[in-house]
Amino acid sequence: MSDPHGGGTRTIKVDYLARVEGEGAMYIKVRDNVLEDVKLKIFEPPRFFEGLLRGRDFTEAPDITARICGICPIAYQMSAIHAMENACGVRVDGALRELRRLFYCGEWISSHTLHIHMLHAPDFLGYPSAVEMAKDHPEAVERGLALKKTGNDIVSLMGGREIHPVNARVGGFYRVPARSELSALREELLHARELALETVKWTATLDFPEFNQDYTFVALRHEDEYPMNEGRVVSNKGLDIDVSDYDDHFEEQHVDYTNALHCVMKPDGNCYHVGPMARYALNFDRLPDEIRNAAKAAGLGPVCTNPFQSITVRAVEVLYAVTEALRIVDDYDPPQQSAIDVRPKAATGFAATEAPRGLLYHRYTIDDDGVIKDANIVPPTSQNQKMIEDDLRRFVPTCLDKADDEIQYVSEQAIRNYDPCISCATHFLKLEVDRG
Amino acid sequence: MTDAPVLILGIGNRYRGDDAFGCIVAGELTGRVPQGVTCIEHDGEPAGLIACWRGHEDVILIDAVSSGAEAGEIFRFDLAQKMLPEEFNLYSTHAFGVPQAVELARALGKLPRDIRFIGVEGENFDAGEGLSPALSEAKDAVVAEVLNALKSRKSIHA
Repeated sequence: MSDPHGGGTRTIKVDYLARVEGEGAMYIKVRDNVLEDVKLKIFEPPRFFEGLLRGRDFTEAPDITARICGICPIAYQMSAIHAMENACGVRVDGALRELRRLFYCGEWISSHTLHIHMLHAPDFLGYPSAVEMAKDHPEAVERGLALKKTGNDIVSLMGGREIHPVNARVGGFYRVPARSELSALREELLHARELALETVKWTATLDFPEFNQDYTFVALRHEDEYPMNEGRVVSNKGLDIDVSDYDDHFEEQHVDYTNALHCVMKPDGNCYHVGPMARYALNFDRLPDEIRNAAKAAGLGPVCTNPFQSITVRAVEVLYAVTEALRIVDDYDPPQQSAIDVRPKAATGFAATEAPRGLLYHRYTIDDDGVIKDANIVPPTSQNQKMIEDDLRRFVPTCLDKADDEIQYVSEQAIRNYDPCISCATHFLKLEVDRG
Repeated sequence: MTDAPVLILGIGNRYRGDDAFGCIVAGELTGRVPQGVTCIEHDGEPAGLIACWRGHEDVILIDAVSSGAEAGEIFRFDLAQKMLPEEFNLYSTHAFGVPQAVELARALGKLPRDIRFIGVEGENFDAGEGLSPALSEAKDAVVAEVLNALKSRKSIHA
């Protein structure tokens, strides 16, 4: 490693970036202590899911796409299911809709809790991993484990199992729970609500670097609820479109150094921000009073523009998801049938749902027999990839006087703000700083 | 979760080639183990694993590993005494897998008093069912080893 203040070549290579999902690398080019280029490279091979969906039956899409991600399979199932129902002109309401929302709450709780306690918190408390953090902060880690278990229990009940659930289908579910099965979750959810509120308060005690940005936030917005499965695609810069118009406003671009597609907004090719901070900023008024009050008490305004504070926003969303799950459990009136009949017809269907990491867009074209002719899937991490680079472009210059290992550490933190799921986008990070 | 004195956790994914090893061993042991021994197949998710072994003081973890050794080689670790090597981590749940679950539980004082790991070097972890020939052989050996250990009520050799 060379002198951080000198103009010579400085190269940092990290073979493994811990605490993100997937395989990738980062390249930072510095000339005379001026940042010239940042590239987030994803070298996990392309997975061709869209290709292998062609020729399959429309009912198979939820289970095939659930295999894209072990962390957020429900998001894939929900986007696929809603897109197929959109193509077939079917709408699922009532208790089945509520159960889908409960299912999604489970995934938000589980995914966010893993990231908050096991992956992100060690950054702020100065530990290399949750294992080291657990020795000094056992109560926080145990709280995380208990909350994650609650999320897992919801997913297991609704999905048949925790990983790659198999119970959701186009039109509803293969099996719906009895009232007693949901009621059995109630005590655990009541305890989880206390733990989630503790977590919000705890994240507020962490020290965050000052790094407020003028983001273009993009998320779903629903007429009366915090968005999960439905809503219009909106931004804080005037966008307000039906999901079926997504392709007119967003574009996936091939970039030569990465196997993931970069998604940008048309026509200017600008990056945008999806995920908890975008959802929160665009839907603060859709949160119940007690959740808004908890957010305010934790130092959040109606909009959070510091990505390092995303840990608190995620904690607020966990509190919301637990509260919402309780509401659904308490109001549950089992549906007459586990699924409604969905007949295929030649059409193109569109859907976007809010995966834990942000907007997840699916588009399918099927024929009259329900055979998939075309598929397009845009995961949140593809949409955030350029945004992460943009954050690094602004953040790294604030720490160029630091040694390479410190730059590496804070850069990894900046990346983890987005909880990137690189597997979804096409797997850890190699960091290379070129000061040549 | 039960309060059975012995818990056998077969970890893996039945649909990823040799990663099915732990699940298949747990499946074959079910019904053949003495009364009071519980066999569970588990996907290896850390929070779930820690919740799963809560209440048990005698746990055997069985898993496929990928350490670069010869396919079918059997590894045994006494986890109550020794950390599981990181290179045995097959999972990528944000790089948080079985070794991290064990160490997290140790840090929190939630590690069973007696916890042993039997790992078998895998060869093929591609999508699909069926063990490689070397793993099929190792499977019979591990099933016999666990049954013998349970029958004699002695600990598994570590």
